[in-house]
Order: sequence, then structure tokens, then C-alpha cells
Amino acid sequence: MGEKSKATWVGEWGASGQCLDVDAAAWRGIAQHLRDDADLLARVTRSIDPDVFFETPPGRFDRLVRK
Amino acid sequence: MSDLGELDAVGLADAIVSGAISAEAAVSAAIARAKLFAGLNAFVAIEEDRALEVAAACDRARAAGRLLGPLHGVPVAHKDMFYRRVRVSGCGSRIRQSHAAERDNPLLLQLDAAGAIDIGRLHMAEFAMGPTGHNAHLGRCRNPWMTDAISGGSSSGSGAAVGARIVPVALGSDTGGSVRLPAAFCGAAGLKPTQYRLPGEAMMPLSESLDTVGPVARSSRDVARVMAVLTGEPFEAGLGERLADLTIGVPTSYYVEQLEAPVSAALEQARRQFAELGAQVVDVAIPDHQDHAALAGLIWAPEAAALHLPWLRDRSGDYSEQVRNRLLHGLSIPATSYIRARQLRSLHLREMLDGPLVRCDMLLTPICRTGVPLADDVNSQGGPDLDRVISDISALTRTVSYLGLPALTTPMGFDPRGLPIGLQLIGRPNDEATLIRAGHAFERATDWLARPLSPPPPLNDRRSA
Repeated sequence: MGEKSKATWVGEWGASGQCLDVDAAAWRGIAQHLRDDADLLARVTRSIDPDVFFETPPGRFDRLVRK
Repeated sequence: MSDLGELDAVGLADAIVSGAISAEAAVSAAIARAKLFAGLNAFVAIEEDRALEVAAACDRARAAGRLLGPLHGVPVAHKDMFYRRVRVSGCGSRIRQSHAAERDNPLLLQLDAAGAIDIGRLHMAEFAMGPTGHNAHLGRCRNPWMTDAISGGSSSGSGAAVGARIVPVALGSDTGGSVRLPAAFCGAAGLKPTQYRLPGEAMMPLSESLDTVGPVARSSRDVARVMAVLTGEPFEAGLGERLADLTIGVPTSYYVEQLEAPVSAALEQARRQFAELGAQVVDVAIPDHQDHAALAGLIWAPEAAALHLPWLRDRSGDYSEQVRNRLLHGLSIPATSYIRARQLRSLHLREMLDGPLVRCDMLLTPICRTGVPLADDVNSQGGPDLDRVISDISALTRTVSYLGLPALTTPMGFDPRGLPIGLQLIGRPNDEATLIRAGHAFERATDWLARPLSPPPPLNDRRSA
């Protein structure tokens, strides 16, 4: 997600039916969080073959830890 | 018997069963001590009449030759988020401050059936979101070892009540360190079980993927007894055995980086102690855990936001600023990021299970890189420093929550200020018993749990930050 599309996305989210009363400072915090999150996922997944995710359902973790 | 507060739950149960003291005396002493230490702000409510009635019934049962169970007559108290029918469970919040549950928490019922006597509801962070013990609605919970220091959270009252030797056992919840941090900061033992090990019904949810329930306790053998009661499994069976069959790994990265000097020294001393107890203690390379805590945030925050969405719309002003802002962040995380983080979670757990936890039975780390922070240094009420404060305090616990692994804490020393330093033992899934066995051996070989506590803080100003 590029910088511009992230900003647009945040704007759309704010204008959507979720409609919460959020002040400007909180919005800036959220936008920064979203940038950090996107950077985090890009960094962590960079060296992982996309096929791995295609073959890894989110529920696999549960099967690894359940007795 | 001079000071019942010095006994752990096992010792107290033994004394009651033998007739050395009555359950009523044990409960009365706990309530008196709770009042003596009221300045800690550990209790939201003390349920004195009900507790004394149950204690009297316990004593009548014993007189009739009937013991209720392995916690017969032992006073306990729990984080104010485990439901009892009709009783209020306030969840540290304004929004639920008058909420009376319609269901009983099954774990509380199991403790009741084992003879434990619930004397009250304990302080917690608002909706279990916060590792310091601050609460905008309830005031701050204080550390029994130094009242200017934080109690840790979010199970702040559980840590403070056990640390102050008011009750020997208190249940808490742990989504990112919320049992382990207050236990460690208040000089107690504490266990975060494996993800899904104990049921999460009839209690306040925060994150269904990361929530766990665990005990804060006076000792690891208390942890064993509570886990035996809650699971029906023989957790006490291996206690007292030497550790010669165990390999304990000390990570060579992340968990040993940027440690304050007293923490580093205590870890080195703990390492030597485990070796003296017969364990093979080795350095072990681990995968990179640097991003695990942030990845955990991509899981818990949207799950919490989904739970809170109706209140965020209708009662936004009833949240403290820091809790509202963290929930709003959760609301903004795309579903694709949430799912990706959950996929990564299983990959990262697999790395641990196929790597360091093949060679080692458990890992030894500190619970926190620093000593217990002072309250004024971390009271950032939603300001720009909030993320840094939270991530610094829980840097070594949220990673373990992300991986879903069990972890035990117990004191491994005290810093020059007189505040406890906790260790963390991280184990394989569902192998809590081995962690408890190691913790028990460590406690018997050291005297950290027996260190005398300071006098109680003054009663005034208990709601101040």
C-alpha cells in the first residue's frame, strides 16, 4: 500500500458508516500506526515465499498448541 | 500461628486441615490485612460477610470429618473480570461498573468446590488494557514493595494482593504479560498457561486469540495446586525432583539485550542457580523475536475493537483516552493485516518448536529489561509516549503471548531500591508442569519469596495517580 493510498483509505474509513467522533490528534496517531503496521508486515514477510501463506490458514496456530 | 500472611496456599491449607487454625481465622486474617493495606488500592470490593459465612461452613464441614478439597479454607481473591451470577464485575471500567453477570465463571466454581474462599474483587486496568496498574476510573494500584513504583498490570490487584501477602492466590488474565508482569513486579510467582489451556468462558474478553487465564501465587507450588484444581491433572506430582533431566536455554539475542545492570546480574545468578540444581544450562540461538510484540498488536487490537465497537460509537466518552485510542487503532487495522499476522504466528511458533525448544526444555529470560518502573515515569494517559511505555514494559512478555507458549515467573532477586526482579521460564506448549517444577526447585534453593515486606502505605490519597 503506497503512502497516498493509505491516506485515502484512512479518509474513507472515517467517512464510512463506522463514523466515530475522533479528534484530529487521534486521527494522526491512527494514520501513523497504519504506516508502522504496513512497514512491519512488509519487513517480516519480505523473505517468505507467498506460497507459504497460501498454504497456511490462520487456524493452523490453534492446532499447534491445543492439547 | 504468628503471621498467616507468610504462608503460601499449600501451607495454609495444611494448617487448616490439621486444625492448627480455622478457615474463619484464615479468612479474618486476610480481610484484616486487606484493610491494613488498603492504601495499595488492590481491592475494588471486599466481600466480608459472604466470605466469613463460607469460612464458617468450611469449619463445620471439617468438624464433621469432611474436607472440601485441596484449597480447603484458603482465602483467595480475583481480578474483577471473572463473572459470578448477580455479582458486579466492573472490568476496571466506567462502562461495566454496575454490570452484574448472568453466568458463573467455571474456574471460580472449581476453586469454590476445592474449598477456596473468595474474599473480594481486585483492581485491574480498564478492560485489561495497560501494563502499569494505572486506572483513570479506579485510581492507581500501588506496589507493596514501594508505593511510588507501579504494581504492573493489567492484573494489578492480583499482583499487589498476593505480593502484600493478603491472599496467597489470585486469578488474573494474561494477553500480553498481564499475569506475569504484576506477579514479577510485586514479588510473587505467576503463570501464563499455554493458549487455550484454560477455558475463557464467563469472563471479560479482550482478545480471543491471545487471552489466557493464570494464577498469581505466593509460590510455584501454589501455582501447581491451583492448576491441578483447574485442570484435574497431577501438576504437583513432580515437585521436589532434581532438575538433572532438564536443559534450560538462555537466549543469545533479544531477551538478553539492553538489560539494566541489576537485571543482568540477577539473570546470571539465576543461571548459576539452575546449574547448581542439576539442570544443563546452555546458550541457545533463537529466531528473531524483534517484531513479535508488534505482530501481536495486529491480532489483539482488532479483536478488542470488534468487541468494543458498540460502546465506541455510543459511549466513547466513558473510556479513558489511552484505552479509547488503542481501540481506535484496532478498528483501523485491515482484515488482511489481521489475517497475515495470524498466519505468521503459526510460522513463528513452528520455528521455535523446530529450533530452540527441541534442544531445550525451556528458556530462561528476565521478565522485563528494566527494574520496576516508577509510576510517575510511565503515567502517559494516552499521550505520544504511550506506545513506547507499553512496549518497553512488556517487550519480553508480549512476544511469548504471540507465540502462545506457557511461561512462569518467580523472583530472582531484588534491585538496590528493594524492588523485586522476576525471571521468566518459557516452555513447550502444554508443558506448564515442567516450568512449575523448575520454578519450585529454584524457590527452594533461594530465599527471594521469604524476604520481609515493608510496612503498609498510608491510607490517604488512595485514588491519586
